[in-house]
Amino acid sequence: MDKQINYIGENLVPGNWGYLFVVLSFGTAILAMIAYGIYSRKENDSWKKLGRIAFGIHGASILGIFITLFYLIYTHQFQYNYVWEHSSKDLAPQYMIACFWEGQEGSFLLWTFWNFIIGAVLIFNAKKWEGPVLTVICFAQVMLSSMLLGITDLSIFGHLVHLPLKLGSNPFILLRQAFPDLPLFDKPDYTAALLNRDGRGLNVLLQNYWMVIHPPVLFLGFASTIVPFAFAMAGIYKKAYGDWVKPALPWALFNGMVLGTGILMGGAWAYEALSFGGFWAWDPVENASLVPWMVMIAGLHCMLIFQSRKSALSAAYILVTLGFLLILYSTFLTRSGILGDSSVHSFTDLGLSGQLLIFMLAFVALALFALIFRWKAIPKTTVEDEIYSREFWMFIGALVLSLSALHIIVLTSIPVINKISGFINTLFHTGLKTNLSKPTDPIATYHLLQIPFSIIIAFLTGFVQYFKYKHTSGKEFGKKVLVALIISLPLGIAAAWLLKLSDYRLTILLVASVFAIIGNADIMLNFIKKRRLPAAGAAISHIGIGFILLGALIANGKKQNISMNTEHLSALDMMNPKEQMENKVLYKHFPVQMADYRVEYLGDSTDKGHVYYKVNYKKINQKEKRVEEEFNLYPYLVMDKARGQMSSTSPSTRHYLTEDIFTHITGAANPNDRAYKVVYDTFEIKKLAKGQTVNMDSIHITLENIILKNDLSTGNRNRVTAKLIVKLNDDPNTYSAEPSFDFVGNSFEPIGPAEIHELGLAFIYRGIDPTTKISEFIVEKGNRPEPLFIAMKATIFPFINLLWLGAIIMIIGFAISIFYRIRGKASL
Amino acid sequence: MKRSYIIGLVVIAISVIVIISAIGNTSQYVSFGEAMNNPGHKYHIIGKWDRDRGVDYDPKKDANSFSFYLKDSTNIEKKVICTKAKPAEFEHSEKIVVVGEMQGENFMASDILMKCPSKYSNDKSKLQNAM
Repeated sequence: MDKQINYIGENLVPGNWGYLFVVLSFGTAILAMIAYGIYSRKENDSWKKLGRIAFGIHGASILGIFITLFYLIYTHQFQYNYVWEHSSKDLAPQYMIACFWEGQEGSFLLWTFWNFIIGAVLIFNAKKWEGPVLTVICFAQVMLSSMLLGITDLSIFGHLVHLPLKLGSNPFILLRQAFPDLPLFDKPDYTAALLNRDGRGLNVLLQNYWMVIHPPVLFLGFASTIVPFAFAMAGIYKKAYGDWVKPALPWALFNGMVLGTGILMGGAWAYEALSFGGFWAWDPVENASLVPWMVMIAGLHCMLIFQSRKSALSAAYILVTLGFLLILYSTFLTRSGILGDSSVHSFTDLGLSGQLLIFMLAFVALALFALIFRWKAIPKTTVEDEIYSREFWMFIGALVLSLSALHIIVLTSIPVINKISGFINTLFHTGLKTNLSKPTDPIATYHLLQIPFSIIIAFLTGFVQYFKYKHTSGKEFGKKVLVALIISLPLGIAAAWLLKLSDYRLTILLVASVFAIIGNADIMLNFIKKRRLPAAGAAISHIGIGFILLGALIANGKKQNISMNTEHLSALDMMNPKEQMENKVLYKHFPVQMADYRVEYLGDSTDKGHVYYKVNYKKINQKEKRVEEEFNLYPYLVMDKARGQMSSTSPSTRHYLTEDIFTHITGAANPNDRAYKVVYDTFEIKKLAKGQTVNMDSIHITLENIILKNDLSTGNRNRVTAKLIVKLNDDPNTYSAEPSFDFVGNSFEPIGPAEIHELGLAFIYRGIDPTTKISEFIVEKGNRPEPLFIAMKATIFPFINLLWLGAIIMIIGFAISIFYRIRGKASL
Repeated sequence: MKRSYIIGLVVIAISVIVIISAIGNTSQYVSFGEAMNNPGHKYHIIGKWDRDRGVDYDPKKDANSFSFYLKDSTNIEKKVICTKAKPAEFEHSEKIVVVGEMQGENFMASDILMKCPSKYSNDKSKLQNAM
C-alpha cells in the first residue's frame, strides 16, 4: 500500500544515484557481453571497441555504487536500510569498509568489483583471447549485478508474463520501504527522529581486523576462478583446443595462491577469534571454499602436464570447468539457507536462492553444451604415459586430489541430498525421502578418508619432481628418492616418538610430510645451485604444503586440554569420560594448577558490551620457588544489551614459538544475580588509632595508615584517606579498603563507603579527633556474597606455527611460479 | 588392457567407495519416538527448547553438563542432558539440534547445535522497540 505522505529530509539524491549505478552496471554488463560475443565471432574491431567502452562504464558504475554506499555509511544516513542494518555511529573507519561485505548485497558487489578488475587486466593482456574470455566474464557480471537489482514481482509485457521471482536485493532501499507498516513512517519528518538513533551496527563478533582483510582476499580467490574456465571455453569456441592453456596458466596459479590464502586466513580467523577451538572444523562454509580450490589445483596440474607433454587436456578441461562450477555451487550452498542446521554459521536468506540456482545452472548448461558438443574434437593422446615419468604421477596426484574433494563435497552436500530426494518424491511419489544428517562424529568421518588421501598426496609431492617429463631411468630416480627417504624416515619417526604420537595414521602422515619437505627442499636447492630460482616455485609451494600438513597434524593430534576437570566428577562424567570434562571452574582469586601453570581469575571489566575476563597464568619453578613466566589473557563474552545475557564468546591466546595457549570462557557468574550482591543490614561504629587492630567476630580490622592530601583544586578542601587492612580467621587472604573524608573548614564530609565486596563489608570514614588522633568508622555489614567465578577451557596447541609458516612458504612458492610463467610468456 | 582403462576403473571404484563411506557415515534426523524405539543408536533430533521449564546449568557444581527440555516436531518433549558447557548462544536459539541417544527417559546429547535467529530476522521488532 502506498502512503501518500510527502516525506521531508530523506536525502534521496545519493540513493537515486546509487540505484542508477546499479541499473547502469547491469545494463552495461549485458551490452558488453553482447558486443564481445559478436566480436568473438566476427573479429570486427568496432565491436571490440563497443565491448571495451561498455565494460569500462560497467566498472565505473560499480565504483559509483561503492562510493555512494560508502558515503551513506560514512555520513550515517540511517534512513537507508543497508546503512541502518550494517553500520552504527561508533564504527571505526576500517569497519565501515567491512560493513560492505557483512551484507549479502555488499559481498556480491565485492565479487563484481574483482571480476571487473580481472576483466580489465585481461583486456590489456589477453590479446586474441579477449573476445571469448571477456564474453564469459561479462556473462558472470550480468548474473552478479542482477543480484543488486531488487526487483520483486517481475512483470514483462505488462502483465502478460508474470514471474513471482525476486530479482536481486537493492542496497539502496529506504528503511521505510523495508518496513512499510511501522507507525513511525506515518510522520513526514521521521528522519529527524532517526538522527538521534543508531544503526544496528556491525555484528560484534565480526569487528575484528580479519573481517577487514579476509573477505576481499577470499572473494578475489572466488572471482579469479573464472579465468581458467573462461579460457577453456574460449579454447573450445575458437577451436584452438590446447592453445588456451599457456595464457591461462599464470591465472590458474594466481587463483591457487589467492583462494588458498583466503581459505587459510579463514582458518586463522576462526582460530583467533571464534569459539570452536581450532583452525579447521570441517564446517560446510569452510569446505565450500576448500573443495573448489582442491579441484582447481588438480586442474592446474593437468594444465602443466599438457603444457609439457600435450596430454591430459580433456582432464584439464573437466577440472577447470568443475572448479568454477563448484565456486558457484558453494555460493549457492552458503547463501540460499539450504545448509540450515548443518552449519554453525548463520546465514541470511535474502530470498535469492532461486536466482542463485539460475546463476549456477546457466553456467552448468553453458559448460555442458560446450564440452559435450566439442568433446570429440578435444585432442587426446594415443600414447600411454610412461610409468617412470613425471606426467604420469602428476596425473595420479590430480586424481587423488579430486577424489579427496569428492569425499568432502558429498559430506557437505547432505542437506542438498535431502532436498533433492524430497523434490523427486513430490514429483513422482517415490516414497523415498531421505532425512540424512551430518555424521554423529563428523571429524572422525572426515579423517577416516582425508588422512589416507593426505598421506598419498604428501608422498607424491615428495617424489614426483625427481621424475623428469617423458622418461626417467628407474635407477637414477631410485637413487635420488632413496636419499630423501633415508633422511626423512628416521627424522619423521623420531619426531613422532618425541611427540608421543599414538595414532599410527598420523605417524605415517608425519613421515610423509617430512618426506615432502625434504624432497622438495632438495629440488629447490638444485634449482638455486643452477641459479634458476624462478623455476623452483613449484618445489617451494610443495614445501609449504608439507609444513601445513605437519603443523595441522601435530597441533590437532597433540592438542592438550589442560583445564580437565578431574576433581569433582559427577556420575555423568563417569559415563562420558572422553571429552566431557574440558571445562574447569575458577573462583575469583583462587588459583588452580593447570599443567605447568597456576591459573587465576583476577576480575572482569566491561567495554562496549564486551566483558573481558582477566585470567592470569604463572609458570612457577618449583625448586627455586620463583615465577618463571607470567602473562594475562583476556577472553571475553559479548553481552546482549536487551536481555543482559551473554550471547557469544571470544577466546584469547598466548602465542609462543613452539606452542599456543588457547583460553576460552564457557560460563561465568552474572554479577547482576542476587547471589553475588550484598545487602547491608547492620552496622557498628569502630574507633581506631593508627596501627591499632579491632575485632568484629572473626574479622580483624587494622588501621595501617592515614594519608592527608590537601591543596585539592576545589580550594580549602583536604582529603583524609585511611588504609584499612582486613583479615579473617578462616581465610588466608588479606583484604584492604581505603575509605576517606573531606575536611572543609571545620566540618567532615565523608566520601561514600569503601567496599570489600567479597566479604560483604563497607567502611565509611566519619572523621578524626584532632586531640586524640583517634579515627571513627562506620562498619557496614551484610551477607557474604557468593564468589564470582568463570568456567573456562584451556587448550595447548603445539607447533601450530608450522602451519602458518607453511602457509607463507606456499604463497611465496605460488608467487615465484606466477612470475616464472609470465616471464616465460614474455620471452616468446 | 590399456593402462588408462585400468586407472579409469580404479578411479571409479574408489569414487564409489568414497561416496558409500560418506553416505554410510551419515546420521539421521528423527523424532524422540524413533530414538526411544532404538536405544543405543545415535541420532540428530531437531526441536525447540521449552523456555518455561528453563535450563539447568550450574557450572559451580558441574561445568561440563547442563540439561533442558526439548520439544521435537511431533510434540514429544524429553529431558536432554548435554555433556558440554552450556553454549553462550543457548538462550538466543530458536531451533536446537541435539546429537546423541536415548538412555532411559532422558536423551543424552554429546553435541548441540543451535540455529540462532541471525541478527537480521528480528529486525522489525527491534526497530519498533528502538523507536
